[in-house]
Order: sequence, then structure tokens, then C-alpha cells
Amino acid sequence: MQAVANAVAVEATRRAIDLVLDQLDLTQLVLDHVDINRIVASVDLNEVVEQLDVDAIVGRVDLDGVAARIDVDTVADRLDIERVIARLDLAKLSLEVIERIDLPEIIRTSTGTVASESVRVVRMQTFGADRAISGLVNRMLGRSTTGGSADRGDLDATGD
Amino acid sequence: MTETEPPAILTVPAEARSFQGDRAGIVSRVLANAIDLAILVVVLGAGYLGWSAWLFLRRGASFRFPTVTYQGTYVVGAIVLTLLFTVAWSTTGRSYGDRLLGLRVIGRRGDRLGLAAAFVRAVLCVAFPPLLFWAIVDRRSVQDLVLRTAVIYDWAEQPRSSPPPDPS
Repeated sequence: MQAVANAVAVEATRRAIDLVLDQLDLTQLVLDHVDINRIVASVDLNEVVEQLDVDAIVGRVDLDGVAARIDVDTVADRLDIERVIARLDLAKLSLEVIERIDLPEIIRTSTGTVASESVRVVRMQTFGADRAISGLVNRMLGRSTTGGSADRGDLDATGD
Repeated sequence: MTETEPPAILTVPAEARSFQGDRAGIVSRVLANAIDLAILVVVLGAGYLGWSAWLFLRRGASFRFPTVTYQGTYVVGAIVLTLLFTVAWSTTGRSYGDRLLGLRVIGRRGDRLGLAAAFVRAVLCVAFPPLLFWAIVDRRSVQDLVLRTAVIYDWAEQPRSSPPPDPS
């Protein structure tokens, strides 16, 4: 008998509470009366983060899919390249590049290699004449003229 | 930052890269020799003038230009040319004529000639110039065949970094 009375009382109370809660805007109530910032400030977020398995979380993220959805052009458009460049020490960078690639040596070798346009032209013309004469001789001797390997400087390749 | 070799930059024009390392033909080689001969004439002329100047300082009013014979000129010219070739081929691998025409003399392993090999080749080239014309047939002169040397196109200032391997 008492158990039935308890059950009725519990059910009645639950319904009463539901009825009251339905009439209340709990969210608004919390917002109005609870200092959420204070609660958040009291939480040690570092401890929370330390307990998180970030690797596992990241592992579940489809990074390739995310990256594929990024519009790189749009990102690039939003970049203020000039501002980035302005922060660079271009003079120092240039000197480092010049030092790294040994620009004076390149200029020296380039100048030595192709002393002038006329030298280059003469070399190409003599090469053309060499090739013409070789072709003529090869035809006269009935030799194959395909490929240049027979003319390579690797003497041993020809058994020489 | 770890130090690494700077990237190699090709200094040979693109149109000439395909035949670098090939044996040079007869036209290039004859032209190179012609330039070397012209230089020899200049060197001999300068030598003659220097000798004359020295005699002038010694003899003063009785100075007369020395007479030179054909045989004497030939012998001196042959010696000077042999020396020029020897020094050039054993140091840079190219005479001035070779340099202008973008040629280089290499040994059988594709490397630079030693002093002895360069000297022997120079003697053979100076003593028997017509043997060069075997290069019309084979792109190798008789001197090259005997000494197992070659003249290749090599426009780069420095010798080719990877000489052909020698399986023997």
C-alpha cells in the first residue's frame, strides 16, 4: 500500500516538475543568472587538453578531404604578398643566394664558355661542317649514320 | 644548415649540349690547328723581334737584323709548337685553337693527358701533320689511334666532370 503511494507520489512529482520546466526557459534562466565566464575561468583547460588523445582525434579527421576542399587560390588572393616581402631582408637574402650559387664563378665560366656570340656561331658552323663531312664519308663507306654514339669520346666503347 | 654542393648550372648553350663529348670532326680540328699555327707565327715573330732588340742593344751602330733560314725557322717553330701543345694538353687539355673551337684533348679514360703522353702526342702531331686527316674517315687521327687519345667537343670551361668509364 505504501509502495503504491510512493509510486503515485513520485509520478505526480515528476509530472509537476515537467510541467514547471515546460513553463520555464531554462537556457535563458541560466544565461540570466549564471556567471558562465566565472565557471569557465575556474576550469583548468590545460588539464582537460592533456587528457585528450589529440592524435586519435586528428587520426579520425580526413585531412586529405579537408585539404582538397581548401581553395588555395582564394587563400593566395587574400595573402598580402607585398607585406610579406616587405618583412624580408632581400638584400641579405640576395647576398646569401649569390654566395650559395657562386655567381661570380658562373659568370666567369659562362663568359669563358661562350666568349661571344660570334664564337658560338663559328663553333656551331664548324660542328655542322664536321657533321656534313662525316655524313658524306659514311655514305661513301656505306656506314650507318644513325645515332651519335659512334662519335662519343668514350674510346673503349668502340674497342679502341 | 648543412653544406651541400651548389647545383650545377649548365653554361653550354642548349643547342650545343647534345653533342658535347662527341669526337670532333675534321673541320673543327683543322681550324683549331690553323689558329694554333697563326699563334705560332706570332710567337716566332715576337721572338725574332726580341732577339733583334737584344742584338741591337749589344751591337749598337753595327746592328743588322739577323738572317733566318727556312730550316732554322722550321726547327725552332717545331720545337715551340711542340712545347705549346705539350703544356696546353697536359694542363687544360686544350690549345688556344681548341679553346676557341670548343675542343678538348682527352686520354683513353676521358681524363686529361699526362705530361709524357701530351709530349709524345705533340711530337707526333708536329712531325706528321698529314696524319690528322685520317680523322676524315674515323674522327680519329693516326696519332689518336696510336696513343688512344681523342679530341672531343667540350664547350664548358672546366673539363667534363664524368669522364667515360674505362672497363679495361
